[in-house]
Amino acid sequence: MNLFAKAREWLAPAVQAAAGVSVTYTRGATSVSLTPVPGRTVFVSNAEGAPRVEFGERDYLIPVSELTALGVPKIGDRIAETIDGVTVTFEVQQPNAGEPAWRYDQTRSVFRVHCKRPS
Amino acid sequence: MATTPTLKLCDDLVTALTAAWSPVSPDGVERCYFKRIGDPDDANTKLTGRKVFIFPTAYATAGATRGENEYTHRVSVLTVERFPAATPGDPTTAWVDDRVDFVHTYVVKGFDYSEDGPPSFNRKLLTLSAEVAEVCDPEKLVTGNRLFYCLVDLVFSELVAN
Repeated sequence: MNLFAKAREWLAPAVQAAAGVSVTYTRGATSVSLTPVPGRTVFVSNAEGAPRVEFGERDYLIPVSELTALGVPKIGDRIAETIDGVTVTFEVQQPNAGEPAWRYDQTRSVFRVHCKRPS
Repeated sequence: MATTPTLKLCDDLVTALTAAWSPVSPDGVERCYFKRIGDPDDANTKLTGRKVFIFPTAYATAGATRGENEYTHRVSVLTVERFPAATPGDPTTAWVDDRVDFVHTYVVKGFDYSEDGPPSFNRKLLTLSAEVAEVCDPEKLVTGNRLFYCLVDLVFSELVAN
């Protein structure tokens, strides 16, 4: 293992300890408690003449080791997080940027999961 | 009350669609110039129910007789609805089918004032064309927070007295 790989191995748990949040990850009748790190939150506006479609997206960085009960993320999975005292539910969906709904990081130890708020 | 013939036509279309469809809140139909379909966090733009927005897009006018001008109206009709929040996952084919059928029944056929004669609200109105470029925008279904989105571009001709 080279020095960079060692740093990466150290970094993920350190970030999770410092910035992880408690969430409930649900697929159908199965729920698990996780501590992912919220990633970017972006807002998109698609202007196409008169109609403007605007929506927000939120990412979570989920350690692969925490999601073993469910395997890999799946479109339609729900993530409930209490933010400022309010439980907010997000759904795993494909982002506007054209990326898939989730992907591994370089070391395949963390999932980056893209979500939107169902409404 | 707007007096530009294209705006008046749009208002008449709102009335005609409301009568034919009988939407129950939060469903609805309105004329507007632009519309923000927003994030659920923003109560002002959050989309609930099925909404039909009728946009006056453009018009042209030319003399038809000494007493009448022929107006060509371009009107866009947008139908939008989000897949129910309580149901996880991608929108189902059956759910999309229902919305596609709604657009065909109430917008494309409903606003077709050609072979069946002019509408009762305007005896000098003729539908020239209805174009549905996409039966539903798949990008907005897949990446736009499960949004059904169908835009119909309609062209009407109308003889308007000078």
